[in-house]
Amino acid sequence: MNASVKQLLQSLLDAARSDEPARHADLLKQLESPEVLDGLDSEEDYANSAKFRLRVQQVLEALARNPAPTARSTFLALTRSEAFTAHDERIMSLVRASVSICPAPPALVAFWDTYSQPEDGFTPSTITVLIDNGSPPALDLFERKMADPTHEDDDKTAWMRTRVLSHRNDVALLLACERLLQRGLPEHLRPLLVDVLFDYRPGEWFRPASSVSAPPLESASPEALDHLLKIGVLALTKVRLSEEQRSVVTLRSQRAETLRDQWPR
Amino acid sequence: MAEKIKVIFRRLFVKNDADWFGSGEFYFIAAVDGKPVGNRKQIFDAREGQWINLPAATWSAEVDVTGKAQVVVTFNGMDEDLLFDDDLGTVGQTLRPPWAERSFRQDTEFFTLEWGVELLVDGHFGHHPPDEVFACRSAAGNAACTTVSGVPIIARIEIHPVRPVPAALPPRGLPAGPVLSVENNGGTAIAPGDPINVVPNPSVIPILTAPGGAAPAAGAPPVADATNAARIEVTFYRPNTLAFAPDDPRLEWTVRPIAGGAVSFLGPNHGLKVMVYGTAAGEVALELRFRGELMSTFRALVLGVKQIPCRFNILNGPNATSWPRATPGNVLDHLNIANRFLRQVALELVLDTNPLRTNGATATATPGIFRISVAKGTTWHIDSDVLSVRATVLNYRRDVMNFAYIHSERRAGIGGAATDFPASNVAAAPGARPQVTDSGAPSTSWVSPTGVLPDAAAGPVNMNLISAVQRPGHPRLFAMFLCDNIGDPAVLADQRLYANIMCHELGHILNLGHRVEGPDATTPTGLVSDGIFFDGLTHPPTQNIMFWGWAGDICQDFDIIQARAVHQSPLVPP
Repeated sequence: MNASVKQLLQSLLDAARSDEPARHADLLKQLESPEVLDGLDSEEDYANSAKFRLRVQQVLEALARNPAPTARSTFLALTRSEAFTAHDERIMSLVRASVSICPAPPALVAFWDTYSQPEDGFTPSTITVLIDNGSPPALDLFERKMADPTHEDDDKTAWMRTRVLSHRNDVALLLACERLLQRGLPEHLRPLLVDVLFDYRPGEWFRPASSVSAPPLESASPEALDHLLKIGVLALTKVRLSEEQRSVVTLRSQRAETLRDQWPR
Repeated sequence: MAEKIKVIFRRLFVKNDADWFGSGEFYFIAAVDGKPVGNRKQIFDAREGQWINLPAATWSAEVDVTGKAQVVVTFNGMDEDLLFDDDLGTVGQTLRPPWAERSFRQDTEFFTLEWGVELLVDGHFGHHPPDEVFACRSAAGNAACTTVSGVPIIARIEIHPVRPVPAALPPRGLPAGPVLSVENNGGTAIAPGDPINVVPNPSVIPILTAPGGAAPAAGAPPVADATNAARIEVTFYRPNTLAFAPDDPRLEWTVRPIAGGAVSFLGPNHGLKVMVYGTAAGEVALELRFRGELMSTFRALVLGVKQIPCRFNILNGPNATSWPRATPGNVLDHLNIANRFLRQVALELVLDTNPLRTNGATATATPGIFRISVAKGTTWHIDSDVLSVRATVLNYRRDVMNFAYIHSERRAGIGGAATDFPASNVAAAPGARPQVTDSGAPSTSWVSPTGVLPDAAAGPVNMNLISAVQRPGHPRLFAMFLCDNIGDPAVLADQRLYANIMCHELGHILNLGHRVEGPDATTPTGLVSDGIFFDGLTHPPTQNIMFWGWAGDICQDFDIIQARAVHQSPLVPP
């Protein structure tokens, strides 16, 4: 990185981390300027962006982590900025950086909704962000996407077996899963969601190149254990499961009950 | 091998001729190892202050010292007189191992004798460099040697089957101390135009047609030459004073057939590096001897090279920002580098010449490489966790390896992935993973115990294969993708990564698991995916192409047990 790029990046990062509204306003102006954007990331950087993230993403991440109201509004303004969103890789940077904005304001949910349409290329990353973000508005959108028939079952299955699996001890997500099992999720997908919450079958779910860990049940909070137990009852009574699946649900529920009872009341 | 020394009485200086008048009449009685040497009837005119040269042919003796503890040398001078001969005194020495090339100068009152000892090295006596090894005896995988100057050394030679050679090696049993060694342990920086045999010490020696005969018939293996025969190289020797040359005559290679395997040398069978080609399928041990002692063994399978037909589809999204950067020319470069890795297991990817196209594929100037226009979500930041990865099913043909070059996967750390492959032909009990076994010494990849002395004898090594990964309705689909996450497809350093990932993922498609698996504390086995993609072996630690992590250029090796396994894939022709 040459000195002028380094200096530009540093000044943009400083502005993104600042709590001064004026600096945020100026940052917005700069990030809508083609000259600034080209100075920050060259054409070659964009060509290499699959391997190395753009520098602008660092700025966006700093901005998204800044709780100042004007920082937040600047970030949201960028999601609507024609100049900034002129390049798909910058939109992708916005999607990725937005994970830190909790709870997600309606404008951000609208942005996520726009960039989680079938075959758009953004959806896999946006869905990851929704689950990682974990705020009620984000999970509400996730539920809508799971219910949306324009998204393929194969995609939804992958979302469950990776993103949901890795957060399956999160209380808010468990609540969302409970709702999905009650309504919203197509019936034929419900047993798959039950599998994801109660089982771990890497040989069936993953490929050698990528694999996802499930958080151990032992690390779940009492509240999460309570919700899991509720879902267990729901699964055993309302979801069409095989004998093997029922047995897995029962076993894990028993374990959850034991763990919950070990917590001091 | 017999060890011989030669004792040579060279000349004698007359200090005192022992006569009152005129010169003396000297004669000599010499013995070496109890046997007379020279001619005691030969009278020499002895003049004080002058030398008497002793004819070498008469005044020397060769002794086979193999197993001898000592050789006694005596030389007695006499002066012939009319009545009684005068004794001029006796000189001599008891020679003992280590035998050394030496010169002696010994005196009596009447004469000074110069004599010496020469050693038989490479079939001749005479002067040899002091570090030259005269004799060796095997000792627990090493050789206790004596140099011409009588210095005892411990020599060791290794031919490690893994390149780059791992740092963790079996015990060498060498004495402590700073002895310099010579190592040839690096990896290979492959370029697309390198000879196909550029990677040394392959686990399979390919069957080729012997040179010098008629041109091979159609379908027969090509004629063996320096660009296609297997290169076998010494990877380590010590001490460095042995200074072996690449074609050093002191290092002699021979072939020990195993299980019907046979190979021939292409060029000399001596030196640090030799070339061999297979003549009969099976297995062989190449044995390397130094001064007649077995110093190292390299074991390999002998197989014909099998060709895997393949096609490549470059998936272009709706605009330039969603096009993978690889051109058909880049793809060929990646394929060529990959084939140099695959040569180690006698496999070769060859472009599918069938012109059939589906899914809107268009031909490029290179048959077997196509372009397809796709939706952005099929090539740009895709999610390869879905069961049916759209990108890799496009334009495929049954039993033809299908490669998709896409723009990107959603995670920067994923440069490619095997998405579809049937189970191996290796039989397995229901629910169990197939297993392949290799026995022999040295063990595959020198898995411990290696059978390389002084390490313990090698035992059988078992390796688990991975189960099929298949989407519904496509039982004969073999597919993977590669993407720009790897780097610039036109830059050589990145091209090596493309080829490396191509080989790693193809390894999965041929049912190989990860060599060493990543840790995951959340699973019962403590391994990623609870170990279902682990081949069960933990050696070599990073040098195998199937290493689980992204170790880049260091992962270059396929070993014997993997070679046995991949030839059982339904993708590999019988």
